[in-house]
Amino acid sequence: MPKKILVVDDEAQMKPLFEARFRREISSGEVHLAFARSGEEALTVMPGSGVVLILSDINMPGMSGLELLRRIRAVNPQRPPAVVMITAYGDQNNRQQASHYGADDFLTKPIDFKLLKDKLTEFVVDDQPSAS
Amino acid sequence: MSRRILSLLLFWLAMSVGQAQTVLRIDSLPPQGLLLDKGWLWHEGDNPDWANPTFDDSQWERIDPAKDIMELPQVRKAGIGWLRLHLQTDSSLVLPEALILLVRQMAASELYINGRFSKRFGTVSPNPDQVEAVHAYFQQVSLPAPGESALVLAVRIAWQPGLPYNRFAAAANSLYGVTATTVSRLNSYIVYRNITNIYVFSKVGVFFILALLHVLLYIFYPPQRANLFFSISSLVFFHHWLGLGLWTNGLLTDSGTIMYLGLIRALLYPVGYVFLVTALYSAYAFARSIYYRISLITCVLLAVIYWTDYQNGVLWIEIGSTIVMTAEALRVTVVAVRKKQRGATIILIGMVLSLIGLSLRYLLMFTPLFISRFPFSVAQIYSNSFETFGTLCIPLSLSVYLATEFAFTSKSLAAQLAAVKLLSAQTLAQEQEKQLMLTQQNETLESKVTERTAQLQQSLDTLKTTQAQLIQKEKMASLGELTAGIAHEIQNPLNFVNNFAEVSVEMTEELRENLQKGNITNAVELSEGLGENMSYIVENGKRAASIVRSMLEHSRSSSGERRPTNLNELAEEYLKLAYHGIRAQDPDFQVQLCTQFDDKLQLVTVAPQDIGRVLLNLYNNAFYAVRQKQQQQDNGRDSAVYQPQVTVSIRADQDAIALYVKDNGTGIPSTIVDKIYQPFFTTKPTGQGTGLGLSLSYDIITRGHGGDMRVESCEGEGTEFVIHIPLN
Repeated sequence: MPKKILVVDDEAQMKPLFEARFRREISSGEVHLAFARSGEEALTVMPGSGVVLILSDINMPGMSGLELLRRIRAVNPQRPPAVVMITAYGDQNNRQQASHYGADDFLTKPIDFKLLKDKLTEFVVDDQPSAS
Repeated sequence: MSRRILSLLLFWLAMSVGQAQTVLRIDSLPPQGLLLDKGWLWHEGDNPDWANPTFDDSQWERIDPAKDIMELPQVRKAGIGWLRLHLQTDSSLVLPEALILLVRQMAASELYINGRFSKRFGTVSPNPDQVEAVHAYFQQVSLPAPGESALVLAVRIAWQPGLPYNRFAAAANSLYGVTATTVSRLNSYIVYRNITNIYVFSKVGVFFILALLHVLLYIFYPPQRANLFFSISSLVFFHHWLGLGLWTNGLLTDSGTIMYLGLIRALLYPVGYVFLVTALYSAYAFARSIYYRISLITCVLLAVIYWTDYQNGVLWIEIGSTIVMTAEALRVTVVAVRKKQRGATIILIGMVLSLIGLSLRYLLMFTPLFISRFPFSVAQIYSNSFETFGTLCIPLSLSVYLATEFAFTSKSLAAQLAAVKLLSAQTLAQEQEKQLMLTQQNETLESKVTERTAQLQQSLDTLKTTQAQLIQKEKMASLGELTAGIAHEIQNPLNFVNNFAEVSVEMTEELRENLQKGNITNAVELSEGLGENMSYIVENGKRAASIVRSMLEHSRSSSGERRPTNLNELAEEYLKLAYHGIRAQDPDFQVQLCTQFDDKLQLVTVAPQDIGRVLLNLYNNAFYAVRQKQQQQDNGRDSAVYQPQVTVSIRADQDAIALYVKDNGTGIPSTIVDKIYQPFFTTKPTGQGTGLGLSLSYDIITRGHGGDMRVESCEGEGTEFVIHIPLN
């Protein structure tokens, strides 16, 4: 079963970037990527999609990543899905807020995909037993 | 002795003959001659035979023709008639020298001596209209050769009616007054008359000079009216004495002229004195007193007396007015001396001298005190001298007084002139001093002004520097606000650049491996992927560069460079920056951004950095306002109701671009809406705002771009800023 990951970002180039970086995992069937351009879109995609990990930008027009997190956590207080915030703002204030709303981790741009992949295993593998 | 007895016998015989004939005998002659006022006979009518010495006139009426005409009514009634006198002189008297007759008359006469025509004065006519009376004043009539002792004088005489008879100089208007004298006696009389003339005409001259002098003084200096009064007075006295001089010298003979002259002379006499006293009043600057008026009235009364009293009227008016007016003059002068009136003493002295002179004159004339001691002519000289002296003393003293006054006035004027000159000089000096002081003060002021200007310039420079620093600070502050936004903006492209590059490195490795394995299909696929990656890298690199450039442009100190700008893009770019900025500070912050740009908007020449700064400022303020309001709502647990919204609109019309930045935030209280453009005015907490944002924005729009900036705000409901930028 591929791990279903939802990437939420208003930047359109996130799709080719993720596809390029996860091209091996995608071709090997380990990972399935889904994309949403806004928080609102993510919320419509989410239910029943089997997404185990949400990677969300914070700063987006309309609903912010934090608001999205809050809404997800309102429905799913715990993993899955794991929610990792990715943002250009790496300040303490943002981290605290994200943590406060129940984010599993906080990554800053530019995204370190090596780290992300490590975490990916961590998030998903760790959660697998509890999910099953 | 025998002759005397004979004479007496003859006289007696004559008397005893029954008064058939009246004879006047002259035994001796006094020094001044003998007035023949006795023995004359009168008969009215006209008959040439009456000149005959042998004519029997025993029935004729006795008369004294030396009397005034007014005292001889029979003559006036008859109009014409004859006078006869039988004259017997002592031979001792006759022998040494011939007798001379001196005639005074105020009639027309023809004299016959012993039947022979001798002398005519005027025109005698039985027709009163043809009578021309003349005035004769001691006119000489020579008698026949010496030795003739018995003479018969027959005078055909007529009076001229219709004349205003009056007594000239108090002298009687004799019908026919005859004085008998001799040549030697006549000589002394002539000497006396000449002396009298000298004195009379001296007075005439003096009064003329005084009249002329003082009228000139008056003309030269009209304020001293005393000169005018004194001049008139002198003119009157000049006339008075001139009339007398003409009269006594027989220069005037026509009876009519003399009568009119006498009338005027007498009436003018008090006038002369009145003017003299008026001159004194004027000279002393006294108000005319009651005494002055009384004196005037007295003079009028004297004139009335003169008019009614034929005989003594002249004496009344002349002596009376002299006494009254001299007394008033004396009184006024004494008052003036008591009041220490300058120069009054001069007049007082003149008056005293005048009194002394006149007193001596009358003593000499009317008392035997002096007369007996001097010969007649010498006495006359003294008498005239004293009289002239006495008469002239008062006018001369007044003249001297007025002259000293004139001199005093001139002196005081000269002194005043000197004082004025001195004052002028002082004033001039003071003015110059003031001018100097003013100049110095001016110089001081100028140097102070220069100094202050320099100080001000320095302050201004400092202020400019400070302003520049403040502006820079404001820029940096807004840059700070932007940093988060910029970071976000730059991190995004960096993210792509880095990751696509990393992927590319991996893919390159795979490509080499595939190439080595000869797996061309995979290699082509990879190379295509690499190409895409490269294009992403390039695109994002450019994006990052563009962001950095914007940032640099914003912070660059030398702003104001104008270039054609797409305002839509500018507005959006800065909106994004501002939005990211505020999101960086408050990730939870949500706002609905609405943009209503004008698609047809063409490039507008503005200073993009400046306009960007303005927009950034307005955006930040709008975000701040909606955030504040949101926080207020959150505190009130009412967040669902409030949806923060910021709307940016651009509309272009023919000649201007309108930029609207509208929010539904807290709004600006009406109490501070007037202050928002003031430098350093801020509602933000200390340290969060410089208070320069709107001030600088306003400056950029109005001064930098000739536009205007308006605000409409409703407290609690929101704010809208409207910027108009003219297109040209």
